[in-house]
Amino acid sequence: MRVLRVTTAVALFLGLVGLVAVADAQQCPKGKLRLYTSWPMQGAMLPEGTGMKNGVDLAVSEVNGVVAGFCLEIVSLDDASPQTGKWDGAVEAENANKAVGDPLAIVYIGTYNSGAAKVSIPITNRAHMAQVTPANTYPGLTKKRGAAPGEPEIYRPGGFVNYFRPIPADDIQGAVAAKWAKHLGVKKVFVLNDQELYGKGIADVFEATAKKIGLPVVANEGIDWKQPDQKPVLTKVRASGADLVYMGGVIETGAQVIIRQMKEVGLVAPRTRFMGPDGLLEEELLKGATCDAALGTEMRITFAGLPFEKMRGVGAKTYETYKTKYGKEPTSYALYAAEGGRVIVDAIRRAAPQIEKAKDVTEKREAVRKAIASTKNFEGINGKWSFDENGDVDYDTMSGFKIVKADGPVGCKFQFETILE
Amino acid sequence: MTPALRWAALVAALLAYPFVDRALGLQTVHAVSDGMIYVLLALGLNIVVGYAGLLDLGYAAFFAIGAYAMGLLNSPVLGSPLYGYPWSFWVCIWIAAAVSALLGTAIGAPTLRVRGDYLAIITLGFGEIIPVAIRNLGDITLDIGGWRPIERLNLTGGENGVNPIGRPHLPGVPFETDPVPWYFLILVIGALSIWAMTRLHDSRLGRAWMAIREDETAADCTGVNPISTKLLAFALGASFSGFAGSVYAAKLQAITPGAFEFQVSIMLLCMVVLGGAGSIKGVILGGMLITIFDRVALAQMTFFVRWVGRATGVQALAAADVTLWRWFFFGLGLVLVMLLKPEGLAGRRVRPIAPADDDLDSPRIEEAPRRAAALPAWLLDQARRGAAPDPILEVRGLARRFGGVVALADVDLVVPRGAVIGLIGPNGAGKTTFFNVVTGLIPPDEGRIAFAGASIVGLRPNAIVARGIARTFQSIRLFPQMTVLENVLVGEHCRLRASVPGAVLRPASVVAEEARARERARELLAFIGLDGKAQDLARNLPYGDQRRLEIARALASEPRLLLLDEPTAGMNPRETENLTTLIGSLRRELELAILLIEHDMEVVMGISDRITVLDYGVRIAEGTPAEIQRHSKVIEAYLGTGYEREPHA
Amino acid sequence: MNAWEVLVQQTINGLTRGAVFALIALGYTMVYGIIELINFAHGDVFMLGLFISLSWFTLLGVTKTLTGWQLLTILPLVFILTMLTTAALNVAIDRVAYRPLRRSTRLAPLITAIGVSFMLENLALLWKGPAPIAYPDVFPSVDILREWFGVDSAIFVTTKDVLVVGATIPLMIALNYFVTRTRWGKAMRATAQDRETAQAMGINVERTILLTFFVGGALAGAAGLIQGIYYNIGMWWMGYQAGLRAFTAAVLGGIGNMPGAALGGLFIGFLSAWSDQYISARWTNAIVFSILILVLVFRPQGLLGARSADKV
Repeated sequence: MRVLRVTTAVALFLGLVGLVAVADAQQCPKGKLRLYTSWPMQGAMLPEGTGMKNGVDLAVSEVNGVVAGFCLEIVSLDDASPQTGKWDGAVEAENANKAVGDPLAIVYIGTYNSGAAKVSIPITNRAHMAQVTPANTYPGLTKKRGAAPGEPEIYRPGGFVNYFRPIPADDIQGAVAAKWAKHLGVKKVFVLNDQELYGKGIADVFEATAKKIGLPVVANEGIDWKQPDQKPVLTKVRASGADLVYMGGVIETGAQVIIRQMKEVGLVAPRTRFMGPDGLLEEELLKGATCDAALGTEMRITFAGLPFEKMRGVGAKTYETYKTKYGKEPTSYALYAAEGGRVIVDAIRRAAPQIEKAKDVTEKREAVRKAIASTKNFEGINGKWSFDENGDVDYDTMSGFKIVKADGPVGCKFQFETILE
Repeated sequence: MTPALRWAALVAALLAYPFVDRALGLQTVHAVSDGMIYVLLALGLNIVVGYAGLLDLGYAAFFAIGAYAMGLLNSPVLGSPLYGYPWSFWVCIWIAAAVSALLGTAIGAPTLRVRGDYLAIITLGFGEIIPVAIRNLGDITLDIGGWRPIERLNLTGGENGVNPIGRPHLPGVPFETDPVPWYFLILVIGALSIWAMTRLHDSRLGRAWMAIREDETAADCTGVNPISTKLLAFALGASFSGFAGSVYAAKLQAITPGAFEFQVSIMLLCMVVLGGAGSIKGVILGGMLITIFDRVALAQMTFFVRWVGRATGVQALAAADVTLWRWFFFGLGLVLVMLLKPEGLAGRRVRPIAPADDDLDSPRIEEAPRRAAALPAWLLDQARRGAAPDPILEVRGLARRFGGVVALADVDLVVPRGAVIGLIGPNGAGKTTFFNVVTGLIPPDEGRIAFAGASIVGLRPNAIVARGIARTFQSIRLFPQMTVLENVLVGEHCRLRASVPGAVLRPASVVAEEARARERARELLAFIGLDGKAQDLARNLPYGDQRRLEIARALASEPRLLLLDEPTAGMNPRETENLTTLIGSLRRELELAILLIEHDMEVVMGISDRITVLDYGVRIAEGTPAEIQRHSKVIEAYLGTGYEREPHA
Repeated sequence: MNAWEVLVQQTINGLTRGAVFALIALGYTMVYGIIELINFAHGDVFMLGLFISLSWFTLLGVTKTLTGWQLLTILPLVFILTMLTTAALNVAIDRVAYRPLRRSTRLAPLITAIGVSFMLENLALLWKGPAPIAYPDVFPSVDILREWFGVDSAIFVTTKDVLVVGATIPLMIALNYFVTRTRWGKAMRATAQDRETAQAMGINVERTILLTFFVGGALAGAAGLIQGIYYNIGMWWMGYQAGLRAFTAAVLGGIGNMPGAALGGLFIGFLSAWSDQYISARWTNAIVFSILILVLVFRPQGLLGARSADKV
């Protein structure tokens, strides 16, 4: 009896897990191609996840879902799950494998977290499937600068580039930030990082660049971001006499605490200022850190690309379309998701003859991958750009933001200050 | 359906599943394989929590160690001496398990001495330290006043983790691209693990774990070494975790320190507790339920709640996200299971051993007299094999103080070979303390204790049992959740030899040993009058039976000296008489020396050869029963009333 | 800042940090002393104490720095309200999750405690969101050395530092008086020593346990409020870490030993602040937990000596 019950339970288990797979059957004359997306779609990440999904939808809907006779279908996957509620390597691997295993899947769009991309790129690479990210900025995914040893080759078991990002990487941002700091007249920097992939990576690039351009760096210290008390660390900063704190981190990992408590230990402008990367460019940060403290540190933030409202041409148009279509401001990476979607649509259009001729799914994917790699002079939201041999964009337009007083419930906001090259 | 058919169905379903999945295009094999890795982890944790009763809150640390052992050996990071020389998956998986087991031992050895809840906190601390260490060891700079012997050394890959990790190679098997080989690999590892665990559970070691879980002190005094037994559970649990970790790392191809945090330990604990700690089926059930809940139910619930919200126009519901409540549900699950069904969903408190080939209910045994006169032949054999030295126990100048209270002061006591010595005295005279000191539970402050001519001072209780001293307790300390037979089998623990490989592989010698052990246990139960109750839980026995079972358990360790602490307390006159006869026959036929604490003066005076009287920790008299009855100090100690007034209390 | 000034400043940081740990540790140690349970959820009661006190301030309309008479009326009022709320919460937790398991094995209530801890954290996450929450500057921060004494020093001692110490010490004195001098306190100590005998002596053991949870919860609430005022920020995950550190403090002082818990809290405060300065913040946790393990293994009765031997 028990064995039978176990058998039934196992069958149920297997069956229920199977429910996740969703299939619908909309027929298209020239065949169907699927675009898989994978990033966190739950919890605190839900707004950004939805924004990026909207971006991809926008790009596909611009061509009414059909390119050169092929119907495009978006399969949206969530790579956050079990143990932590954040992105999860096991789920991301599962998503990538799911895409690779689907004979209709042509391109993989994702991820949000660079750590997740490390898991999925080798999987898609083996299948010759192009992967386009709207948000990964960790340099090592595509290039040597700011990378760990062995990167990025380790992500390319096939020996070719299949991973593309229409967004500048952190090595550019970290370097630009260091130059900006020097330009602002900073004499000595104390670098902090949250010991996560993004924060530590960008902090390392900042440190290296600063040293190279002759800006002294006291230390590059990992903090325990779970601590609500960062006064001892900030006392250390004060003792060092640094006049800038550069913090590599995101809003979930405690930059609020650093900014809030800088004031408490007397680290305020003009004595000491604060600078951070675009992971901190969220209004949420100001709520936690309070405007009082943020203004006190003359907080500055770098951002990869132009602010939406400063965009011209395609960028401005996309911004307006997005707002009309979805009735709200795009999230930080929503327009880059749209950009990625357009790059893919364009590549499929150019590769359409090869796709039709292809003998198997791998050849189809290879055709699209090659077409994406050869994207040149693309009319993007930040102007014209091309993919370089690493799959990176060849522009490095960055913008610098500064905290200013503002009306409204928060009381302050980030205001565009300058374009950084 | 017959059991064989059901098993066949289960195996067929498991084997057919990936092909069915492929045919239907469900693409669930990856998810299922990942879920199976967590179930495997939970099974390893079950050895620690369920079998040995040790709460391990840092189990994910061993998972991490297994995964990193695989990662760092199979795909060495730059800067490691192994860089460029990756080792094969098939080698690494064993190394990973061994490293985990080794670290489990290293962590366990000093910590297992502490109490259960302290141990939980230590494991938790360890579970916190390991991810921090892994993270920090990716970027080490040692700065001593500007001198940097080590600069930016990368041992573990830091927050980057190890990536990518090589996959196993088997000719013709596409581990690179196909999830199905992984499914079968994990299935094989899982099946082997379950097989090994089941065999361990039903062995000498499994019984020892349960005994420790039930009553550590009693287990120690029955010949089970608590430290090494717990350590074994810890190391075995860790090694299963090491297996799971290495497979996880190789399958995922990427590991980061963030994947091994406290929440993982708690989720695994949830699996074990929910299904039923100690039951393999329960843990598998718990693991499946939680995986389904996490991967499927939460997401579906969100859709459902939102659908309800849209249908009813309730905005709050339409925007709800049930996945945000994940940890609330896990916490709630832990609380509810502990409050309502602490044995778990599938757990049964009764876990009898499967009846062996001889039939318990055979009329032959049924008709046997309640108190079988026949002493088990093997005990007689043991007794005849070489005479015990004389005296068997010699205690000189024993002293023990608790703070300012003198429990024992300069006590001498000699037990000659084959003698029954009574130890009496008013309450608080130090009689039980004397037992505790002799059996090693309490170290003496001063004095010598020689057993069979050799000093036993400083030995652990289980080592003293192994030398040949067995005891019973004043307040009965059986293993209440184990069967009567199992209780006696634990008594034989120190006379059995099966080790971990022996218990798992069961060579002929181990099978024979186990069969002999059961046979002996049955004979002992028959002798003591508990045959027919072999499969009852010890706690369900009537009081008198429990006392007798405790004696049987003590006898099972083949003692040469038996310490009985008030064996007739709470017995009716008939039971008392039976017990007196039994003690008499032990002494007569086995020449077993017995040291007896007893308040029933009739019993003591009737069977003792000599009697020692303690009062306030001091020996006030020693002599034959007749001498003691006339001894003035003894009469004085018993409030001047003498034993006739029955100094019960 | 020269080396001495850094040391003094970090010691002040450690003192304020440690004072908060000490208040939390007292709750751990009291509950452990009386029912031998590691109340895992205690750190989360502290965390909720911060959020609850924030709600009381909001309800009372306080968003700005308090001054003058407001400081003397509203602040003590919020202290009392917060302490009452968290005390009630702690008692409720005991009633629901621990009390039915009083006669159970030792590990059963520990597992429910972990469960409760996760539930509380999740509720706080849902209530306040995933990001850190700003806590208003309700207490005036004045640089005492500079502004009151006119000493131009690199060392900061603010009125907030004084508040932390000034609020913690009276609480501890009051607790000590309560435990050693009052009838209820004596009942608590008697129950901690020997529950059965206490019962036989006519002490209502259940009510005493309830009282213990009440007092422990109140102290955790006070700690939460002080934390909020002093550090001006709160996050849903901070209960776990603070709880572990406070538990380490309690173990260090000898669990069940109240002065020990207070001293242990201060010790952990100093140690972690110095570690942040002289080693590296990223190693601090590993150091604190190593100490926890070492003390538990080699001196489980704590550095200050034993409360009583384990009952065999």
